[in-house]
Parts: sequence; structure tokens; C-alpha cells
Amino acid sequence: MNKVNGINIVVAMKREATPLINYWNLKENSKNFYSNKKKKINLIISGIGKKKAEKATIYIGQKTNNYFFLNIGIAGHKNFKLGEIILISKVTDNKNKYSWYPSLLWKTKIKKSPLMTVIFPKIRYTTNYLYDMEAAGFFKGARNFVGPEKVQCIKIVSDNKDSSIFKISSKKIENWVYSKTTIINKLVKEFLKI
Amino acid sequence: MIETIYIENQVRKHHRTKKILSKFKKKVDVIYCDHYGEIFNIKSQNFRIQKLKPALVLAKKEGKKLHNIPKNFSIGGNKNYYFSHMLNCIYDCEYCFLQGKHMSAHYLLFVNYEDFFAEIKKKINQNHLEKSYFFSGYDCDSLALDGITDFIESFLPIFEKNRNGILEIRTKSIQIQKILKYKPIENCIIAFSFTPDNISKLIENKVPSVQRRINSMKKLADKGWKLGLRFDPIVPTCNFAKIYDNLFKTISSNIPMESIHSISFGMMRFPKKMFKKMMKENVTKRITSLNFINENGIYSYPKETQTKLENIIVRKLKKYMDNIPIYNCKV
Repeated sequence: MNKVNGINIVVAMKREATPLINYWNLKENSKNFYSNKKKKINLIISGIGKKKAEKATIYIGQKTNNYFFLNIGIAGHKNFKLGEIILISKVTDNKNKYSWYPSLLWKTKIKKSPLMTVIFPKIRYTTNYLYDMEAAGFFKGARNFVGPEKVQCIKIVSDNKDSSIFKISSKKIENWVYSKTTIINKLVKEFLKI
Repeated sequence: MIETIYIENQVRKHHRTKKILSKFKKKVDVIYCDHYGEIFNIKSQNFRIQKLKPALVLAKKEGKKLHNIPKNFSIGGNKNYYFSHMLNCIYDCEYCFLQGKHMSAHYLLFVNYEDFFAEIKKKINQNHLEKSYFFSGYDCDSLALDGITDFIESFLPIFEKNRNGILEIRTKSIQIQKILKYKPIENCIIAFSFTPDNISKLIENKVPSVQRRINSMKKLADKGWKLGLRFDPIVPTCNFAKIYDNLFKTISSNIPMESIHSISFGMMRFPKKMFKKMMKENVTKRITSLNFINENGIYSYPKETQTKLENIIVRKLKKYMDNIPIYNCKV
């Protein structure tokens, strides 16, 4: 097996990235691009939306060879609790209905769920999917470089039917991600075993 | 252990899908898809990584269900077909062509057995003047996942009622409990594959030991089932004649010869593309050290080696199991 050399992490917003940058002690290489060479972790802040996510993923993919790809961010769901961490089992682009299926090989008890990437934030949750705005772009970009075993997506629930997107604040985002950094780190270690 | 099940939307309400899901007492992740190809056929999958934890994919088999078997691979019949209700295997044999055949290591199970039954019955009727032979176990092990697939309790009754069809169930598994619940069916052959014990331990990962398989055969024989012996592939090794002699001797001393329907054997052989993929993904495996040569697009042992091995195999088989038809699955 061709063991991965490190991990590329794509995050949409600075607020999502800050707790991770601090946790892994990532240093800013260039604008919105951080890394810790010893830990072999790269992180890029893509901006909001699937096109920006795809562009950032391709950018980081071209800089690395045989790296694992991980998208971390917030997402909404009808019923899931705010702050809950979810490993994504299927990503569907709402525009063209194309789906990606990341291989689920990991020793983890984290809840899994399918996710739909939409162009505009979702106010009504019509399905049992999570909703975000980047994952489809991230998968499209990452799959140019590696297979389904090496592309994964982790989301933290930011809104649900009882707490709409209008209640999300930067501080809350930072706190949600911060509270899950240990679990994320554990998963990253699991990812890097392959 | 299966932890993830992908289900095609078109079979999510199929009775067999529901039954299979009900068998998973422990929580499994169920993910729906439009077509199994979205998971099974996509490029750049890593078979070796997936083999660490394969998922189960439930789907509908479209198109032809029966395929002609390669020439020279029969066990005495003229009308020979294979069918695959499942693709991929729980075992991990170093020589297995499945690792070069499919993009994915997931277990792909086609739940629409009834469509297989219809085609099998149609073929039996078409060939009503002679027996039709149907082979299961080409793209999967027929019995290894029987606890989930219910292959036996689904397919045996079809052949029980259609005696002009001969079913060969090929396996390395010892999951024979469901077969033992049936009275022996004259036109069904339970065919066990073997390599000698020391080879099996080295290159047939997760496969039950030779002795356990022999024990299973014995139980079936005692009940009156017809058995097949399949030595395919023959693996060249040090002390080749002695090792195979031991294997044949052990089998013949445990299994009553009147239970053996037929014996077949064959050399390791792979189409070029499959061979290249297997070798690329298995650089550290023992079989890569064997001497393969390409002849007309098929990689196998050199002709002189094949002839030498064939002669030894036939001589040794006749020593212990005379009067049983022997078929050489020659390329």
C-alpha cells in the first residue's frame, strides 16, 4: 500500500480554521495557507462556496504528492444537535445531483450522515441530509489527486430546525470547532494510518 | 465485519434487501445510491486499502445473468454457464484474479435472484435434450457469505425442481449448515477448492484450513451429497510431488470416493491487464516470485513447467482416486 505523506485540510472560513491552526501549531506560509511540516499538516482557507473550495483544493493538491484530503466545516441539519460532529458518508452536489462516496474505513464512533452541497444557505431542511456550501467543490477538486479512501469530510452542526442560520455567530463557530479539536485530531491520526 | 451497506435506490424496498438488513443486529451505516457503479466502478480506488474493511453493496443485476464458461473448463457437459449473484470475496488469496478484475474490494450482491432463476430455467428448457451445467463461485465464494446472502436456501430449490440443470457450488468455505438441512440433491455438486495445507497457510488468507474443509466435505458426503474436488490453481513449490501427494492422500482417506463427482485442476493463469494490475498491487506477495510468461495474452507458467506439473498431478490423483473423472482446465 502506498502510505500517505501527509494531510491537506480545506476550511471555508477563518473562524473555522483558527482553533485548528492553534491546536496543530500551524504557521502561515502565504495568505490563507498554513502548515506544520513536522506534523505534515497543511491547511488552506478557501472562502465560502463550492467553486472557491474546489479552487483551493486544487491549489493545495498541486503543491503536495499523495496527501490525504480533509474538508472541515459547519453544516446544517433538520434534527442534529448544535455542535455535534459528523463524518460524511456521501456528498451530493445539489445542482447536478452528482455524488461522491468517501470510503468509511475508520475506527470511530462518530455519527455518519449524507450531505448536500447547496449554492445558497438552507433555511428549510427538506431532507435528512446535512447541508453545506463547500463539500462538493472540495470532493471534485480532491478526487483529481487521490481515490475515495483518501478524501474525507467532517462537519460540525451549526444550525437546525430549532436554531436557524441567522443565529450562527463567529464566536459560536470558533467554539464549536474548538470543542471538537481533540476528536478531529484523533480522526486525522486514523486517516494518516492508510 | 461489515459496517457499511450501500443500497441502490431501486432495491431499497426489495424483500431480500429488507431481510439482509434485518440480519445486522449491530448498527451498520446504510447509504443509498442511484447505481452501484457510483461506488464499485469508480476509478483510482485502492483495492488493498478497501480490502481492510469492505462494505456490502446491494444492487440489481441488469442484463445477462448467465455467461458461457471458457472452453475446456467443463466437468463433462456440453452446455456450461456461470453466474455471479455476488462479486468479490471475504477471503484474500494472493493468486485471486478478483483483485485484478474489479476496481473495488467491496462485496457487491445482486438481490434480484428471481431474475437469475428465470434465466436458468429458460436455459434448461432451451437445452432440454441434454443437461445444462451452471457454475457458481467464479466471481465470489458461493458459501462464505451465505449467512447474509441466503444463496443456498434460494438457489437449491430451483435445481431441486429442475433436474436437467446441474449446479456446481464452488467454495473454500465451511459454511455448510444450510446445505445440511436439505436432502441431497442429485444434480447439485458442492465443489471444494484446495491447495496443499502449507501453501494455503501462506497465500490463502482467511481461508479455513484444509482439514476443516475436509471435515465439511465429510459431513456432506455422509449425508449423501455429491462433491467436487478443485485443485485450481496448482501452485509450483519445493517438494511439489510430495506435497500434492500428501494432500490427495489426506482427502482420499477421509472422503468416500463414491461421493466424488469429479476432479478438476488448472494452472495459475491471468489475462495480461489483470496480471499487470495484480502484480502492481501485490509487490510484496509471494506469488510475484513465481515464473510467469506471456503466451498469447495469457500469463501462466512456462509450457514445460505446466506439462511437468500436469503429469505429476494426474499420476498422483490416479494413485489415490482412480476411476473419478479428471478435467484439466487448460487455457
